[in-house]
Amino acid sequence: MEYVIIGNSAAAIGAVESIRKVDREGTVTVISSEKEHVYSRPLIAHLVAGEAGEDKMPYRQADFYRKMGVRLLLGHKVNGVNYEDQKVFINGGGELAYDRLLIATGSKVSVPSIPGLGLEGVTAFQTCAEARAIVEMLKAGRKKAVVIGAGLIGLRAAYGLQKGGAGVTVVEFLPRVLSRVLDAEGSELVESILKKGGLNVLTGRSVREITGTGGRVAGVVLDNGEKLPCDLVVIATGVAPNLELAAGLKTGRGIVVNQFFQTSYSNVYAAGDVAETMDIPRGVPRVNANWPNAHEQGRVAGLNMAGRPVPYKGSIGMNAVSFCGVPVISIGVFDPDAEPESGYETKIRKNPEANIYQKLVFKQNRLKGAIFIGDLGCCGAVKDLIESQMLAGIIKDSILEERYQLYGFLRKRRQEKLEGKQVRWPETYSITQKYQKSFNEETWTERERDQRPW
Amino acid sequence: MPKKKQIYARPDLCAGCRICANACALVHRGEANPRLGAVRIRQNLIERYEFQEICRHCEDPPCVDACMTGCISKDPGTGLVIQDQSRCAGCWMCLMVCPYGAVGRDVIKEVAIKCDRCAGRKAPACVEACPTGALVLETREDAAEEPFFAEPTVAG
Ligand SMILES: Cc1cc2nc3c(=O)[nH]c(=O)nc-3n(C[C@H](O)[C@H](O)[C@H](O)COP(=O)(O)OP(=O)(O)OC[C@H]3O[C@@H](n4cnc5c(N)ncnc54)[C@H](O)[C@@H]3O)c2cc1C
Ligand code: SF4
Ligand code: SF4
Repeated sequence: MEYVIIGNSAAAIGAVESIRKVDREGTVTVISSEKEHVYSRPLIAHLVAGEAGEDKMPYRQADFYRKMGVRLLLGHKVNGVNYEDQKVFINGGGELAYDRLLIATGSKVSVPSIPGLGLEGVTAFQTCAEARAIVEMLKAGRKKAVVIGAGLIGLRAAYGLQKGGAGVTVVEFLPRVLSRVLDAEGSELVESILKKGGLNVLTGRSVREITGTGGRVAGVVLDNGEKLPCDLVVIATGVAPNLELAAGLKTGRGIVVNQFFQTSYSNVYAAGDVAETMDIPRGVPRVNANWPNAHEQGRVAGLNMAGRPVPYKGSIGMNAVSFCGVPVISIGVFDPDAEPESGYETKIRKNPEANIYQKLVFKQNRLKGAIFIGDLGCCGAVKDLIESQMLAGIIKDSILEERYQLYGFLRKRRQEKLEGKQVRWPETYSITQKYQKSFNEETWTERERDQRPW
Repeated sequence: MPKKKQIYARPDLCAGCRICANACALVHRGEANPRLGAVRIRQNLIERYEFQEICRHCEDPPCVDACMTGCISKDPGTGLVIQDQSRCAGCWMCLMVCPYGAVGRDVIKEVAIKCDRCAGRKAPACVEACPTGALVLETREDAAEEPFFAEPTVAG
């Protein structure tokens, strides 16, 4: 069996590992346009910050490919694929036949159309090579940076640059930061945390033009005519699935796959940021681009490629980051206002002085999403509840308060998961009114006595 | 594959004393601080409810999928899910995905804390230290026979 994997990041590594779990004979070829040994993409911000050295970048050990028996073609771009003849065309002339193909080409940066993008000192923030170039520029004495876009990648770039010693201004076109990760109130809190940390954030402003002298960046001009001098510009206006190789395959926003990760050709698979999978809380196909999903999807796709059919349960959009030591987590449907459907209900607990903001989003007694800032509470259990989409009406009020009902629920849930036992839920489980504690004092003490051995 | 010994939690016996967490932190960090242990006790003093959070060393661990630095891995030999703390970047991805809430946050070093089931010791420190027997290390062939978690003591 000839396995060919295009891409060399989270999804590809997951696939290599699981293919090798099932099939030790077939040949596995990994092709990537990047030259590096597999590295941790989110860590490039820490590289710029100087917190993680080059030794921390590799995602797997140096002998990973040898151990897995992988043929590596690094620094080779795939120009196209003939899905009928099962051939991959490599830039520079080579071609490669496959029995099973995995497309794990991830995301590509969507660049806005503004003048001055070609100047020296303007860069995206997606690859290790770009991060290294930024480190070099900082070392060469560049001190003023502008980051365009205050999404997750933009803010991480800003964090890295700031720690790396540059003065940073973030320019965001929308009225608030992290609009694809947090709701309005959460954004506001994060923005205040960032500002306290010394970051200059301009929201509701866009960059009209990047100006330069002698081919080198000298500043940016904002839409209100204001000029910001700078010697480094990072473009972080968003990413989109990399659909270069998708001609001939069914696509939506990403490459459409079934629950076994097969595309419209049954021997061609897609996983990671390129693939459009079922979003669990919303129940519609969606591209949920993040590291945990990419690795898990790669892992499941690999099992399927190697001939062990394992259905994928679906993906959840989620993210975890820290800003100035304050952890921020958002999972699933975090902002009902941004959803096309209505009927969501929210529960909020907050304490802005202590940088705490927690929010749960329910729909018809099922948990659909959550935000945790500052205090992470039971966020693992919450993610598990969102993933299982079970009725959780009874603990609606107790999750954020961490009350008895939640612990009782978690115990039953874990028992169920670990022992495969179906625990029957009382009728009251799905009622909407507030939970009433009702028990008979006498039988309760009886049970207590039975269960405690002393 | 023969079943490996697991740490089982029995919340009904837990007194909420956090001696296990102290023991864990003492063995791994050299200081008796329950916040730095890999076992966490969730407790509600008013309603008298205790609940231990400890790593299950899952079959298909979500934390391994989530860890973006690759510092969490499952040892195929022992079945243990081990974290290399020196490479942890404190991104809290693992904390977000663990369904058992088993990953802790070391706010001093900004890294995640995870159980290694005291790989070098005869018995895990928490199990040795627990005065009520609420944490036990054993092999359960048929887990369903003896309920892992007893029924909650209050009706509901
Ligand atoms: C700065 C930054 C910070 C991030 N932080 C987080 C975070 O904190 N948490 C989180 O969950 N996610 C984060 N992400 C997102 C995360 O990195 C991605 O979700 C993850 O990398 C997706 O993995 P993937 O395998 O699908 O694709 P990618 O990592 O995008 O890899 C695709 C690979 O395919 C190669 N390739 C593409 N086209 C071709 C071709 N035609 N021929 C050959 N090779 C090709 C590319 O060179 C690349 O190596 C961050 C991303 C960035 C850029
Ligand atoms: S930390 Fe959580 S997800 Fe990871 S192995 Fe332990 S119980 Fe499983
Ligand atoms: S906090 Fe550390 S161990 Fe957890 S996912 Fe991030 S890098 Fe891995």
